[in-house]
Order: sequence, then C-alpha cells, then structure tokens
Amino acid sequence: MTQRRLNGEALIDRTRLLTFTFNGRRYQGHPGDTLASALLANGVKRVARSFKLHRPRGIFSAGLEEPSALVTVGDGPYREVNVRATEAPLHEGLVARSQNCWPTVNFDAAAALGLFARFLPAGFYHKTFKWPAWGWYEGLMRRMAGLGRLNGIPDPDHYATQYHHCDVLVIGAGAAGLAAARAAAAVEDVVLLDSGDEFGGSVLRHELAALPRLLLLPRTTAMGYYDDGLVTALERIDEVRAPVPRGTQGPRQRLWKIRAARVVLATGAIERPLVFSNNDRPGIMLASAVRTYVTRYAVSPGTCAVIFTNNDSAYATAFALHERGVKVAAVVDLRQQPGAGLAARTRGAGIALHAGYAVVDTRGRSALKTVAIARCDPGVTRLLAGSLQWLRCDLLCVSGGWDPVVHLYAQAGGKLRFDARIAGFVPQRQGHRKAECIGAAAGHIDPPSQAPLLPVWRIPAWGRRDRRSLQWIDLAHDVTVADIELAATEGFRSVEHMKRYTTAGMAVDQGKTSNVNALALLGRATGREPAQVGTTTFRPPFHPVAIGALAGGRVDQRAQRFRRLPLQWHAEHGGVMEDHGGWLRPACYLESGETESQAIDREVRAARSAVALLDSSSLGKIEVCGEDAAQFLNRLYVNNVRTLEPGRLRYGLMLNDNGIIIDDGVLACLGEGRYMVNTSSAGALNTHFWMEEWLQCEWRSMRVWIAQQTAQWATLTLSGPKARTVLALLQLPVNLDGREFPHMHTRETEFEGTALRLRRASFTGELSFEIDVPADRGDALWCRLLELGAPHGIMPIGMEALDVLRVEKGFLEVGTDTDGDTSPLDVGWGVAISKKAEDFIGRRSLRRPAMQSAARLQLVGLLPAERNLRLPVGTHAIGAAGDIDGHVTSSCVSPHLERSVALARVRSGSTRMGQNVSLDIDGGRYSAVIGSTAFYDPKGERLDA
Amino acid sequence: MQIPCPYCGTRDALEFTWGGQAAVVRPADPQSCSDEEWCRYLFIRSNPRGPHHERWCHTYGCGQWLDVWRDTLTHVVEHAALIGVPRPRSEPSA
Repeated sequence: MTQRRLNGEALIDRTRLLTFTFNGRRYQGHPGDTLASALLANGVKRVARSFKLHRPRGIFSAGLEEPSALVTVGDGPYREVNVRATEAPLHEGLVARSQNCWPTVNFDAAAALGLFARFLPAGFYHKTFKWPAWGWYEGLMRRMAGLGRLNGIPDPDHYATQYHHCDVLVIGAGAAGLAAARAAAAVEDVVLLDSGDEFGGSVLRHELAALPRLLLLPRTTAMGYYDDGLVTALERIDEVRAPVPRGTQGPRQRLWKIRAARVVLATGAIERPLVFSNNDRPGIMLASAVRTYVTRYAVSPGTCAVIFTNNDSAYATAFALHERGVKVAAVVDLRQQPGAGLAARTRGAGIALHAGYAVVDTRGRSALKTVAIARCDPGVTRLLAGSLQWLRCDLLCVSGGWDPVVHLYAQAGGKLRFDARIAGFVPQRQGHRKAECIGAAAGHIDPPSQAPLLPVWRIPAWGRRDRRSLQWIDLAHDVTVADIELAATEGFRSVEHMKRYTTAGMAVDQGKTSNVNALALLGRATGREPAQVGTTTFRPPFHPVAIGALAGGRVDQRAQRFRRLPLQWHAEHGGVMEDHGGWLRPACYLESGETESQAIDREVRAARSAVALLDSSSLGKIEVCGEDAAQFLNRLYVNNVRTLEPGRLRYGLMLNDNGIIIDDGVLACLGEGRYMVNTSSAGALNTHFWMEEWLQCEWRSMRVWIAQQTAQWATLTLSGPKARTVLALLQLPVNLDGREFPHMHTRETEFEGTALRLRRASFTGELSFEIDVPADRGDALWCRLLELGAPHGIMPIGMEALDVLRVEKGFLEVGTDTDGDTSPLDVGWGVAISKKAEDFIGRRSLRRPAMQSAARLQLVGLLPAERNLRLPVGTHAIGAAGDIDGHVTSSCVSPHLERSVALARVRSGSTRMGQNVSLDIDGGRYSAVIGSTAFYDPKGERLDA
Repeated sequence: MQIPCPYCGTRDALEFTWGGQAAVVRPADPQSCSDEEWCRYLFIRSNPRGPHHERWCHTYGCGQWLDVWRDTLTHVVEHAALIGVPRPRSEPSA
C-alpha cells in the first residue's frame, strides 16, 4: 500500500520507525502516532465492520468520540476489545485486529445481512423474533450481537485509586483551560487535567510544571461529576500493554477522585457530521479530524478530497490539505452565501467552491470513490432537477457544526439551552453552583464565523427513492434516519424512549457524534424544534472505563473484607475457614483422609459424648452501664431485664418497632448498673449502632454508656458432658459445682494475672461454659484446654457441627430461621411476653391485626418420612390447593436421633402439631410430620449433666 | 455529597449512615395509641422533592447522630447539627 505521509511539521518522531501488525499484516509508523494515524499513513481504509449490518467502516474521527474504528489490541491476557484506534498510541510490536467480521474485514460473510436491512428496523427483535418464543433465537442473536470477544482470562494488570483535594479543577488543556489554570494557580491550589499530554506544547508545559500550586495530570480523562465538586478521572499511566509480568512496575491506570471547591470545564466541542445518503463509507471523515491528521501526524487520509459543510470551520481543512500539497477537488457548502473572505481564499487557492450545493450520495463498495453533488434550495428541502454531478475523490471531509462537550456540566445538574447560533446545546448562562463551562464548551466556537451556520439535519436524497435507510445517524449502532422516523411513527415521542427503541447513542461512544442529529430528526418527525425535544440524560462515565480501574485494589482477597478471629490456631490445624456472618470461622477441622461430612459427624458426636471446644470469639460483646442501664435494656429487649440479678444471665430477643425480630443474644448482669450484652456474631455491629441510635435520638436524658468490646475478648466454649471436668483442670478460683454455679449464671475471675469471665449459657444443649479472656490470650488458653482435655476426649469443633447441635435442639438462629417478617409470636414467645409489664420496642406492633393473624408462618419442627433425606434449606411446603404452605429454614441429619430433622416456618404451624405437610423438592413430593422444635433432650436434662 | 459534621468538619457522605426523616415523634405511650396513630408513626413519611429534614449518623467518624437539612433534588446540605440543638433562625426553614 502507498505511504500517505506528508512533509512539514508534525508531532511525530520521523527519525524512528515502529513496526506493528494489523489483521496479520506488518506496517510501520512513528513514535507519536496513534494506531489510526499509522493505519491512514499506510493507506489502510477499511478497519471495521459495522455493528448490525456489517458494512465496511473506516476511521471517522481523530479522538475519543470515534464511533467506527473500534479494534481489538493485544494478545492473550492483555487482549483488549473495543479500543478506539484513534486513541491507541502506537508502540513497537503492537498487534491489532478488526472486530465483528468473519473471515476477514475485507470479505465478511455477515455483510449479506445488508441485503436484509429492511427486515432489521428499530426494535426488530421485538417484532420479528416473537414466534414461537424469543428463546429460540436468543442463542444466535447473542452470537451475532456485540463487537470484540473477551479473552476470558483474569486481568493480569493492577490498578490504583487516588484521592485529591484542590481549590480549582480545570478539565481540558486547550487555550481556554490553560488560561484559566494559569490565572487560578497564582492564588489557589489547581489541578489541570487533559486526555492528551501536550499542555500547549513543550515550552508552555515546562512553564506550567514550574508553578508550585499547579498539578498537571496528562493522559487523564474526566469521567463523572458527582455532588459537591467530586470529579472522577482516569489516568492512563502505561498505555503500552506488553506481555511482561507487571509486578513491581506499578499500576496500569489510576482512578482519581478529586474534590474541588470549583470545577472549570474547558472540555471543548466535538464536530457533528452531516446526514446524507451512504454517509458511512470508509473515507468519509469529520473535517476537523482530517485537519488533525494532516497537521499533527503529517498524514493525508486521502489523495483527493472534497469538503462538505454547513459552516465556516471546515474551510480550514481545505486550506490545511491544500497547503500540504493534497488535492482538494471541491468545497461543497450548503449555504448559498459562505463567508466572503473564505470564499475568496478558496477560489484563490484554485479550489472549486460549490455554494448552495449538497452531497447527495456516495459510491465505492469498499471505500469512497465518488460523491454526487446537487444544487439545493436555500432551506435544503429539495434538490434542483438536472443539477447532479459526480466528483471523483477518496476523502470526504464533513462538518455539520459543533457540539459543546457539556456532559460533566449536565451531570453536575447544570441546565442546557438550545443555541440557534451553533444549532447545538450550550450551558444556560447562570451556570451551576460549582461547575462552569468556558471556551468552546460554553458554546464559544473559534474562530468567529463570517457567515452563520445553516442547520440542516438531513440532506434530501437524489432520485425517486428516499434512501432514509441508507442515511446513517449513529455509525456505531447502525441507526438510520428510517429508524428514527419509524420510532416517531410508532409513538416514541420522548427522546429517552426513542434512544432506547432505536439504540441511537447507546454504543460505547454514547452518541458523541450522533445524539444531536438524532434528537433533531425526532423533532422533525414529531413537529418539534430541537429545543423542545431536549437531550437525553448525561450520565457517568463520559468515556468507557475498564472495570479493573473502578475496582482499584479491591480485587481477589481484598474484594471482600472479613473479620478475623483472634486465634491463629484454626487455619494451621485443618480448619476449613468460611464466611459466617462476615467472620472467617472454621466450618470444621479436617483430619487426614477425611471428608467434610465425616469430620462434621465426628465433631458432633464428641460434643454429645465427651467435650467439644469451639471458638466463639465473634460473639458480640457490648458493655452497657450507667444508672439507667437496666431500664434502657428493658426497653430494647422483649425479656424482663429489671429482674435480672448480678451474676445471672438471661436470653434476650430484640425487635424493631415493627415488631420484627432483629437480633438475639444473652444479657449478663455483672453488677449494679453494669451489663454485658452478648449479641449474635452477625449482629455485633448493628446492635451497637441500634443502641446508640435510641440513646442519642430518642432517650437523650437516659444516663447510659455503651462500649463495643467484641474484638477485645476471645471467647472459647467448652461444651459436653465432660466440660466441667476439663474446666476444673484450669484450677480457677471459682466453685464450678452445679448448685453453686448453675445454668444461666456468670462469674468474673482471674487466670494467670488477667481477667477471665465464665458464662453458663448453651447453644448446643449440653453442659457448657463460655470463657472470655483478653483477645491476645485466646491462643494460649485454647492450647491449654486442648492439652488438659486430651485424656477426656476433647475435640475442636467448627460451625457446621454447631449448626447440627443447635438444630437437634431446635434453637433458632436469627436471620436463618427468622426473616424480615418474623415476630416473637411466630416463634412461640407469646406467653413469655405477656408476663412482662413494661413496654419495649416493637411491643405495640404485636397487637396489629396482621401480627395476630392465625395464618402467619410459625416456627415448627419437621420430621420427614424419609429418615435419611436431608431437606434442602428453602424447600417449600405445598398446600392442598397448590399454594405455598411454608418453607424449611434449617435442616440436618441428626447422628444422635439417627434421622433427618428440620426447622420450618409453616402457615398456622403451631396449631397443626402431628399433621403432615407436603414438601416439593425439584418437582418430587415428600411428606413430613409437624412437631415440636426440640428434637433432642426436650426436657433440657443434659444442661446440668 | 458532603455533610458538615459539627465535631469532625465537612466529610464525605460515605462516612455517614442515613437514618430517614428526622423529628418523627414516637408516641409517648405506644400501648395506649390507636392503630392509626401507630401506623402514622411507623410508616408515614413526607418524601419531599426539595428541602428535607433528615437524621444521619457519622458512623465512620465520631459516631454521633445529627439533624441534617438536605435538599433531595440538589443534594445540597444546608445545615447539620447535633440532635436537639435548634437550627439558627437565619437559615431558611425546611
């Protein structure tokens, strides 16, 4: 292919060559090139196939607004899809290929779809693929949809997040942004960021870098504006993805979260194309983009150009091409009267000027070859008969005016107005509290026009056919004038509805070059001005961003933080650590050659026959003290706390004011006005917050102090018939005799010079001692108990064994056997509550008719007819009429009862004892008998063994 | 969004927990109030489009619950104070 590199100044390093590969072919470019400029320099025109109809597409722009030239870059884990060729910096060895085509971009089998274009209108999948069901077509459609294919390999790179505060954040380092940043940096802390890295050239950049209060962020694109001046921006630290382990090389990208007192948006404007027949061929480009390729990269995208415009700015492209020796065949201006000075200069350069003409069609199967122009009336509503001419050219530079980049301004809550002068949306003059637009972003397009822009949203087609389905609005999603008009005909008047129905502006470019044309054409089809149609909502991110950059460091082990037990012992001794209510706790301890279920069975048997040792350190521990502490807890818990004497424990059930159970635990009275509340493990934080909220917001005069102590103490639980025997070996100065220290009592003592607390509370149904020691003593005490208990068969047990033990006993677990609709009446607490005189949170709600209904789900035990079938948690009970009759909440096969048992919430369950329920497991029906929840040792005799 | 905590200064809203509408009066004696009164206390909230009086807790800061006057449309926080501290009169009332 031919080299299209021009002579003259450019921002590339011509002394060095870089070799790269595109679709398997080797090419060369220079440092400073983008992939797009290097492809154009090598005469590569076709780089992509369009999204829906697989039409050949070329490079359309020179920036982040690119709708067409999306390619896949890199290999293996570094392969990245939908990269805009206009943004990808060229580097040695770069490998890129086209997307959405098979077998090649030059011959794409799916291009046959173009023959069926009229069967693929807006919303075609809702209309065409209805019979017999969408599911029949879904597989094929999913394969057809989308562009690049993901590599399916975890991203080997890592990403950083950086927070920053400043007085002024200036976004965009064009002339307006540079001036604003320099002025502000004299007196304030300023951040100036830009997607590029020039900052006005090397001299100015050097000068800016010397300003002490100015931070420059090159290759950084602002993504979103959030409340109170928070702007997110993505910095591309390393744009070269090389297949080397990054390891110590630092992050690939950095997500900045910048909080600024004032945000100045100097984000410029994006050129808008014109809409005419066959306006999507490779070789048709934005006029400003051609200018950029010529002046910045010294590349001519073609050998013979035609300029097509409705405004003055495109004339600069004609002059730039002409000055560098590229032939300009004609300037076609829709206006009858272009600016006089520009017209004279054009003709003076020997360029034909066709004023009052329009480009009405183009030809060229794989790339542009000729364009048809025709004379039009002043309003461009019709074409004059006999005026058609064909011009040979391989480059058509199009300009339909400029759209200010108001995305962040609109995200900040700024209002837009339609400015007839530029036929685009600009910020309203009063601006927004903390964000203001300046320069082109405010609608001040330079240089000032000699003649006004002529807004034309669609060029009439030549001939009898209207060609609406060949007049592209959104190149990225293949949306045409026909699609927009069809949407209007079918009643989609709102711009938001039209967008979703036609998918205009919904591609990766978010319609940066197509949104205003689309909404203006919707307006035309519905008899409204663009101002009345309005824009769609601008939402972050402004530009596509890698998920990895958003995640930052929160990946792998850091994706979810778990609370850790103070004891290190478990993981080192076969403990299978799992998430239990946000804590990493041992599920069981595996001995060699054992399966998990064998381990659980062994641990359960040890607890009932000898003694088990359990790490319960995650148990919530909240100290509540003060002269009103008893009254405070009495209001928070269903149970009577006033009668709780020092040294005693009481089970506590906590409700919200809707009467719903939110936590349970054990309350210990340590002395007058001094309580330790043991909450559930999962509720340790929330119960503390709940207490503080009531104390601070409702009962402000109460004299109560609350201290969160969960992490200060390790809690080890000895449970089993030999628990007392083993504990006695510690030789604590406490009488452990059952009469002196009965069930539901607590003792404070000392062990080896540090505090130790004992509680006789049991979640296993066996004789149990919960032992609190300072967290750093946990490991030592654990090992000591294992050593002392060895002759008595002591065995560490995990959460799975504990779950079997508590289900055998029918002890409920809040959040497992209860949900957001469970009241204490539903779990058999009605009688206990009636004995309490005082009010408590949620009590009034228990009297609501809905809470009193006999048809509520109530907690019961289930004995399945199939004794060995462990009922899956969540299994539904089915009523006679096929209605849902309840569901299983906890379940196990009890080694001691040698049968399956379950807890379930069943409709009117408490009145249906002894009756059968029908259970549905994967369509199979099973039967179970409703009974008491206390399956094992119903009288609780083992507690005092 | 930012909230000016009277103890800690202006902080990001991420540090705070939303507590719903402020100054919802809990019936002094819940047991003697009607189902309608109790329902109004439990469920009826104003949900305005504009200025709103809410309560927020500086959970990951000082842990204090605050009275916050916030505009639900613009997220502008006009004032934040400790619960029970009256709002200065010069501020427009929410």
